[in-house]
Amino acid sequence: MDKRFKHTLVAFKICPYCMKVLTVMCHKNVKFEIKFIEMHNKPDWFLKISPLEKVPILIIGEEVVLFESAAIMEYIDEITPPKLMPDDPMQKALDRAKFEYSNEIIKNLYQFIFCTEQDKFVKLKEWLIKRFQQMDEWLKDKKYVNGLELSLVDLNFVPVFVVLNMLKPILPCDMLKDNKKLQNYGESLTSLPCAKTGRVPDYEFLMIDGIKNQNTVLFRSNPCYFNGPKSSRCCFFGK
Amino acid sequence: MDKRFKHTLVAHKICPYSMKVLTVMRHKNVNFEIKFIETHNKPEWFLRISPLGNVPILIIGEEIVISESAAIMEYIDEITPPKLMPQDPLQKAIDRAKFEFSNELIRNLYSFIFSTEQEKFIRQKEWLIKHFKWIEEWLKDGRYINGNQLSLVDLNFVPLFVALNMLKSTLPCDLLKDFKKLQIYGEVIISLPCSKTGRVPDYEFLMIDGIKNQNTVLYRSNPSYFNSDYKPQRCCFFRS
Repeated sequence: MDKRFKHTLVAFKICPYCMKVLTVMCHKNVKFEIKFIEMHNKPDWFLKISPLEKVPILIIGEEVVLFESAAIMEYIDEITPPKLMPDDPMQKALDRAKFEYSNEIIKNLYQFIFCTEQDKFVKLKEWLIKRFQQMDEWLKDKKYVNGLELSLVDLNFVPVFVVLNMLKPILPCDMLKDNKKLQNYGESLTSLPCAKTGRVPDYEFLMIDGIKNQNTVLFRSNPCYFNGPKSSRCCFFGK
Repeated sequence: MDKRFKHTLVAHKICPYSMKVLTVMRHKNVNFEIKFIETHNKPEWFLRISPLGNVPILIIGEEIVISESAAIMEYIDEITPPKLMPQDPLQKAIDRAKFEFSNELIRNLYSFIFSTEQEKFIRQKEWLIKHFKWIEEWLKDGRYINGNQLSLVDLNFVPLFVALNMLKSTLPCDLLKDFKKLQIYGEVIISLPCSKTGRVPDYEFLMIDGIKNQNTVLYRSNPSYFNSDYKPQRCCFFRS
C-alpha cells in the first residue's frame, strides 16, 4: 500500500456502514487513523467535505475524500492484495448486488431496533425474516457466500450478525431460530478476528443505551433487561 | 461479448435507474431484450427472482439475475471493452461514490417532481440546489467529469438531465440557473446518442401524466401546462 498517503476514516461509533469499512481495514491490516464524530452534531469541516453529509468517509492524504462504504471497501481491497473480490465480471456483479442487499438488511434492522411503533416493528420483523430465508437459499451448504474462501461480500454481513447477536437476549424469539445455515454463517463471521476488532468496544453499550433512551418497542417489551445490571455479554468484546 | 447468454433487462418505463442501465447498454451496443413491468403490480415471477423486488434486474441466460443498477452497469462495461471505468483503484472508488451520489440526486429529484406537499417541495428544491454545487465543482474545465473522455460516471447523470430538461417548461425558474458548468454539461449529456435511445419514447408523456394524476405541487402550480392539448415542442427530444 502506498504509504505516502495517510488514511483517515471518519465515522460514527454505532454506524453499521462504518463498521463494514472498519472490518475490512482491520482484516487487511491497513494503517489508518480514525476520527469519530457525532451523528446529531456534525462539524462544519465534515459537512464541507462529505457530499452527502454521511459517514463513513475516507480521507486520503490532505485532500482526497472517498465516500460510500462500498466504494471505500473495494478501494481498500484493491490496494491490499490478494484481493477479496473475485476477478470474474459476472461474479463481481453478483457480489456487488449483495453489498447493496446487505445495506438494505442493515437499514431495516436498525429501523427495527429503534422502532417506536408496534405495527411497524412487527412489519419490519417479518420483512427481515423473509430476507433471512432468501440468504439461506444463497448459502446452501457453503461456509461463506462464495464457497470455502472468505470474500468481500461476507464482510458486508458482519454488522448484521453483530447486531443479531446483541439482540439475542432481548427478543422473545431468535429471528434466526429456523435457520441453521444462517446461524452457522453468523458464527463464522462473528468469530473472524476482524469482526471483533472492526467496531468500537462500547458499540453494544451505546446501542443498548439508544434503545432505552428512545423509548423503543424493544425497550417497552423488555424493560428489566435494559434497566438491569450489566449483562454477562461483556465477554462479547473479549478477544 | 459472450453470446451464449441471452441478456434480458427487466425495467419500469419511468424508472431512472433502469434508464441508467438502458443508456449504458445502448452506448455499448449490447444485444438484449427488454421486459417492462408495472410498479404497482409486480408479477410473481419477478418478485421470486428480484432479491429486493426492485428494478432494474438483468437476467443472464435462464438463471442468473443481477440486481442493482451500479452492479449491472459495471458488468456490462467490463464485458464490452474498451471500458468506460478507469483502471486506477482510487479513481474507480471516486467514480463509484459518484454513482451513489447520482442515485441520491435522482431520488430527491423524483421526490420533488411527485411531491404533493408545498413544504416538502420547497425543501427538496433547496436540497437539490445545494447538491448541484458538488457536480459543478467536480466538472472543473473538462467536457466530462473525468476530463475530455466520457466515463461510466457521466452516464449515471443522464436521467438527472433528462428529467431536468423535461421540467424546464413546467417550473417557474430553472433549477440550474446559477450553475453555468452544469447547464453545459447537461447539454453534452443529453445530446449523446445513447441518452436519446436509452429511454422509452413515451417517457416524458408518462412522467407528465403522473405529475398531473397525483395532484402534485408541480401540477397545482401550473395546471394550464398540464391540461393543454398542445404537445410540447420537445417531441423532437425523442428523435434518434
